[in-house]
Amino acid sequence: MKGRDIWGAWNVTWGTYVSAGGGTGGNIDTAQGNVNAVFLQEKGSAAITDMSVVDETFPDLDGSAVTIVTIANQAGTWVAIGGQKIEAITIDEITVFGVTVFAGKKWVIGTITDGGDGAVEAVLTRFMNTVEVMKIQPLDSAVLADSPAIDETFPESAAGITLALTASKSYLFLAGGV
Amino acid sequence: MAFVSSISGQGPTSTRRIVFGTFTNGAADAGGDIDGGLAKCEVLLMQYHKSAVVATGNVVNEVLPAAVGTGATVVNPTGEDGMFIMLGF
Repeated sequence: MKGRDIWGAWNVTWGTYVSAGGGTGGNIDTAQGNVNAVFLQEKGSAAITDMSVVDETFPDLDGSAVTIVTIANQAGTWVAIGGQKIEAITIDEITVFGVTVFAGKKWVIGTITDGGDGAVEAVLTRFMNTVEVMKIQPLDSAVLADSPAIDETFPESAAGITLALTASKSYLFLAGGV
Repeated sequence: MAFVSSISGQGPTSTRRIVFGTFTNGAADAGGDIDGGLAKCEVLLMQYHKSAVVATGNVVNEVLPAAVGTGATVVNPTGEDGMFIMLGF
């Protein structure tokens, strides 16, 4: 763990990981009692062929051992969001379990399970009019061949968000806007 | 066209500053330096903007935290654009 901060109602910690010696992932200790989301960013000098994934079901997960899966010897940064406990709001394939305000924006975290973008819009429009930033993290038990994408030029109306996801896969999302 | 990053939003957290924006690669570019306007970068996340999934993942070529808030090097697949979130101060 490298740092700690508070984002509105969320406790946030971050740090680095490395799958050394041919390893392909393991457990991250987020230094939080419970976490609702963990996002990964790979490190390296060349673009990589497979995406690192978080092999957990959120929210309210034991933050002392969050399992991630990477390609061999992959290093990177993790960001864990926890602290807040709200009753999950589920619409179709989308579940929201974190809502807060910081940095002058509204922020939402949740999961997308095999979701269509129509469901994302149905959820996001309840919290914000315009989405300004979004990050998507794959959830799976094995590295993912394809990286998820967002087919928008932000800022974009929350009613018009189009995602490009791999069929049948699940993802965490973080969205910020006004 | 060279690699370009631009800030589209920012604000304070309790002890840090969060900045987000976009980066674009020219057709033959495969990354460059993201300028988040910060002295120190502690976290840098990237997200593709595209109409389809991308077969290759982007990476941060820095040992964070580091004093690279105005020039954090990233490597992308050639020509792929996206968004970044930087945390630091």
